[in-house]
Amino acid sequence: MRIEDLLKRSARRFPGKAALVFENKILTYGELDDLSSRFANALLAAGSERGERVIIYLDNSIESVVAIFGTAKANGIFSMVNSMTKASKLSFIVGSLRPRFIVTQTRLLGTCNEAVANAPFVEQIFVSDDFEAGLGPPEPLASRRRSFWRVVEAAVAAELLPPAIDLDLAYVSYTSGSTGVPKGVMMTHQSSVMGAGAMIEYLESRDDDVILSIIPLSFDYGLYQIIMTAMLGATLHLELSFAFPNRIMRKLASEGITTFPLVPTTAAIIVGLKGLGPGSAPTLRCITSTAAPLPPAHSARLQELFPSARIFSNYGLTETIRSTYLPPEELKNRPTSVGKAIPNTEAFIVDAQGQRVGPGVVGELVIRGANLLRGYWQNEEATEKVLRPGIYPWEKTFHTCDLFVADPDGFLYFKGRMDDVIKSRGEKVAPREVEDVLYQLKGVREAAVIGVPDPVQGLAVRAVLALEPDCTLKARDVQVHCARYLEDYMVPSSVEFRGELPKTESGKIRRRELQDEAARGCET
Amino acid sequence: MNPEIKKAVRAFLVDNFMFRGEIDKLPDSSSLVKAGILDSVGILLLISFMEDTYDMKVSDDEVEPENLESVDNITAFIERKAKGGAS
Repeated sequence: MRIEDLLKRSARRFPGKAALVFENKILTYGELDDLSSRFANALLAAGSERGERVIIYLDNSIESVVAIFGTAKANGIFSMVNSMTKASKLSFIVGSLRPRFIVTQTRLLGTCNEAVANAPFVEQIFVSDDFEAGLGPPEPLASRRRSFWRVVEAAVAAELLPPAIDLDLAYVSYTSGSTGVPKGVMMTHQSSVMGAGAMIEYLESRDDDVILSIIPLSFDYGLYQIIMTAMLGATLHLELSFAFPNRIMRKLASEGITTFPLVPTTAAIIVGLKGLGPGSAPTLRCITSTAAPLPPAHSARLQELFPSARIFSNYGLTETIRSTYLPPEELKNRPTSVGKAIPNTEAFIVDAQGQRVGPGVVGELVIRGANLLRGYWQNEEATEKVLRPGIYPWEKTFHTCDLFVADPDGFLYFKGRMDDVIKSRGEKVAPREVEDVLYQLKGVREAAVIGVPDPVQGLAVRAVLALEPDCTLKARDVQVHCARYLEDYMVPSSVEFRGELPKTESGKIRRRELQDEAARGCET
Repeated sequence: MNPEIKKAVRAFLVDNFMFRGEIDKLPDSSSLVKAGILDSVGILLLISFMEDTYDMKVSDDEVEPENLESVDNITAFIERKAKGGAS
């Protein structure tokens, strides 16, 4: 089974039912199926072949969803890129994937043009909104631009689509690597559909579910909301942002929302809303959270506010879609645990020799199952590090590089990373990637990026800097500089200045020492 | 609308969110959320800016698009609050 088969099946069962709601626009299953077939045919008419990469660089929108299913129907590979991504990183991804097609929107055209300036292989840039009337910059690459909707409307809807199987790649999703170079996680249709099915199984999701998602589709947690919706034949209310929480809270009631996926930072905003009382969302059955475990006070308050909802605390990496979940009835007793393996997978802890360890012993978490990545895009070295031989000759297991410990009942607890990667707001931040940007700043002599314990973010990113003697940089200058090149979650939330940074005899900065110091500082 | 307040609001947006979009080219009436300038963290920063600069208090139920979604809305909101306040 492939991702687009999920949509086709639901379109046969519920052609007139709302699949997607976005800003008062409703798309039925029949319409979504039709539009995505048209986009697929447009790609094919433009010469798209098996495994053709399509970058989808958009805010949450109807167009993103049409492009996801359309690319799959054309047997292409989609790659969702966060709309916060800056030109330098987008340019890296473009260079790595060498896509012939990009789908974007007017406000991102400036960044997009910068990123494709030296990428002549990008043949067509589909713009989702009306760029002629918009704010887009005048640009030299106009010959490659197409109106997304004009192309879709002009294409045929008939299913003349190529044969494809579920071992084909569905998408490549970029994630931070410890060396500072992003890694493209390759997922097959088989892994995606298996992962979506396992989540539906333990969440007990149903075809009458109404899901409201504020999570970007570029984050796999957001992407799987639409994949699960299509699998169920349910309805997804997609939101652009959580900027106005009151509006979202009212929607929970007025739209009869049953499922509300969160991350800890949004949960923190909700529990802080003063006007919100218990019972304001009576139809809510299920709240999910991923990234860091929710602080116990927050999960308790969420349960008070939404008494009808079961709260699921989850853990996963882009490489596994979802790895573990805590059954809601355990939340009270084990609030800081992320639970056990999702259905039809195994999650276990090993020591440095790869031997399984018992309760109470810290080791690396390993995942076994059909939900795993098949490797990193054109990066065999990184692939070999994480995908190691499994029990059977054909099998690989995924080594997470996350340190975990199990309690006597087998429930898992996150303890930290084996590499330098900082987990902040559920995203992986590679200190190297941020440090490289810091060193571009004139006057920075030494730089180290560390994670400081934070109840909501898990770890908050901090830059520790030593400046040249005559340099007058302020924390704010440093943050503004970082915001120019990095996604928001990588921008240091604090900056500390020192005369010099601790170093080894060979002059290497001892990041670990600074990291340990910050961890100790927070315990006292 | 008070041009001084509007100028200060725009200066705040440029100072804090200049790399999220071309704020200078954005009309006063455009949605700052759709333009990718304001998100949930951005709204919190905007509220502390208004509270610190204009000696006003923004309550949770005032965090609504009609008060905060565009430069026009923010300016009008500050004006309304300032009139109703101690001054």
